[in-house]
Parts: sequence; C-alpha cells; structure tokens
Amino acid sequence: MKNQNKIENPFKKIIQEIELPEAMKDKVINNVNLIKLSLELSELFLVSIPDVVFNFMETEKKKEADEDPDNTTEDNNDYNIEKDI
Amino acid sequence: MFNQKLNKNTAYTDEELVRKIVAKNDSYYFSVLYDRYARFVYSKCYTFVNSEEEAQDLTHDIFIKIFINLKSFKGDSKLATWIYSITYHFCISYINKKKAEKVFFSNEITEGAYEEDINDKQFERELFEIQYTQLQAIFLQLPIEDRMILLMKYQDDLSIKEIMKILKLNESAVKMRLQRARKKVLELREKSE
Repeated sequence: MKNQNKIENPFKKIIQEIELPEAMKDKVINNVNLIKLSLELSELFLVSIPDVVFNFMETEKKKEADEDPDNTTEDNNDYNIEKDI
Repeated sequence: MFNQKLNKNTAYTDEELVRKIVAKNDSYYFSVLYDRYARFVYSKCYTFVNSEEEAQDLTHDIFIKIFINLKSFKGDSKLATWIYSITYHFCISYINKKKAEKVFFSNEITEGAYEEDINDKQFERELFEIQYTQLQAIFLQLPIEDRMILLMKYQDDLSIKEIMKILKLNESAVKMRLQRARKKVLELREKSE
C-alpha cells in the first residue's frame, strides 16, 4: 500500500548513461605527469640549485676565512668555535 | 598481489587519497581518484554541452585543473562537492566563452529575496508527476542554470547547503532559483499540453 502511494522521482530517470573512453584516462595521466615534471624542474632550477650554489659559496667563504690568519671577523670566530665543538 | 593493492586503493577515503596525491604530486594515486570521479564529471559535462566530444575535452581539462588545485582542498566540504563545484564553474565559464555573452547568473544579478511560497511543496509534487520523457523534452527548453540546479536538488539529492557551496550563493538565492526553476518547468509543461 505504501509503495503504491509513493511518487517516483522522474529526475532519477533522466540520468545520462554515457561511457567515457578508456583512452581519456591515459591522456589525463600523461598530462598530469608532464605537469609534475615541469613542477619538479622549476623547483630544481629555482630552489634546489640556487640553494646548493649559495651553500657552496658560504662554505668557500668560511674556508678562505679559516685559511687567512689575519681575518678575525665575528663570523670566523663563530665558525672556529663550531669546528672545535 | 595486484588485487591486494587494488583493494587497498579502493579502501582509501577521499581525504586520504588527496593527502597522498598532494604529498608528492603522485600521479598513481591521482589515477585512483580519476577512476572514482571520471564518470561523474563526464556525465555532468555532457548535461551542460550535450556533445560527447566537447564533454570529453571538458572532462580532461577539469581533471587537470583538479590536479593543479588539489592542494587548496581543505576538507571543509566533501571531495565530491568540491569536484562538482569545479565542474560546474568550469562548464559555465566554457559556455559563456563559447556564446561570447553572459548567460550565467552572477551574484550581482538581482534575484529578489526568497519568500517561502506555501505552494512550493505543491509545485514539488506536481514536478514529480511529470513523465520523465516529457521532463526530458522540457529540460531541453530550460536555461542551463535552471536545469543544473534542478538536477542538483532532485537527481543528485544535494542539500541546500551543498548547493550553496557549489554555486557560491547564499541560502535565500539558492531557494529563490529553485523556486523559479520549478515554476518554469511547470509553465513549460502547461504550454506543451
């Protein structure tokens, strides 16, 4: 009795049953991989490499300061203290 | 072994999946997310453009957009709602560009305040009495914004709150649009009879 009174929702019947081609997934994932690669490359060139260069130059500077006995800057002293520790 | 991995993937919640994708821009887990939502996105796109080819292009672009913007998903709403929102706005923008005119309502368009209509429930009942073949024909004559809001409410069973999030509108505006869309359907039915 209950079921007889229940009004069916016609909106549920107009669902479009269409299949998405399998090839679409490959296309999406390939492009996602391309985006991932470009993100990683930009991170490499804009973040990682500048970081390495900066650290290298800092180390070189400290090394030079260490080798020069006349150089008694505060930075150099700090470096020697750290080294002793 | 593969099945085990597959089962493990299907066991991930949407939120876990998003975390895994975002952590390493992981395309493998993104393909799992694609499998979950591709048909949903595709069918919504198809409702907008009524062309398989265009719907496929839109689906592709929407998934690229999802991948790029996934970091901004904070879990305030369900992932499905978030994806629905992206799909909706992407399609509306596509249609606007295509027609080179503003067909889509915006918040600036005066809606008038929503006033509870005692006939709302009656309209709803009348709406459900329409044969689905007739409804399909009426849908083709409806503006896209009315068609979509009716589908959100009566086909996808979204709550008013979820529709508010998707359309980025307040409660009154959503109810107003629903009321307007229902009335339009009934008017079109009368005309066709």
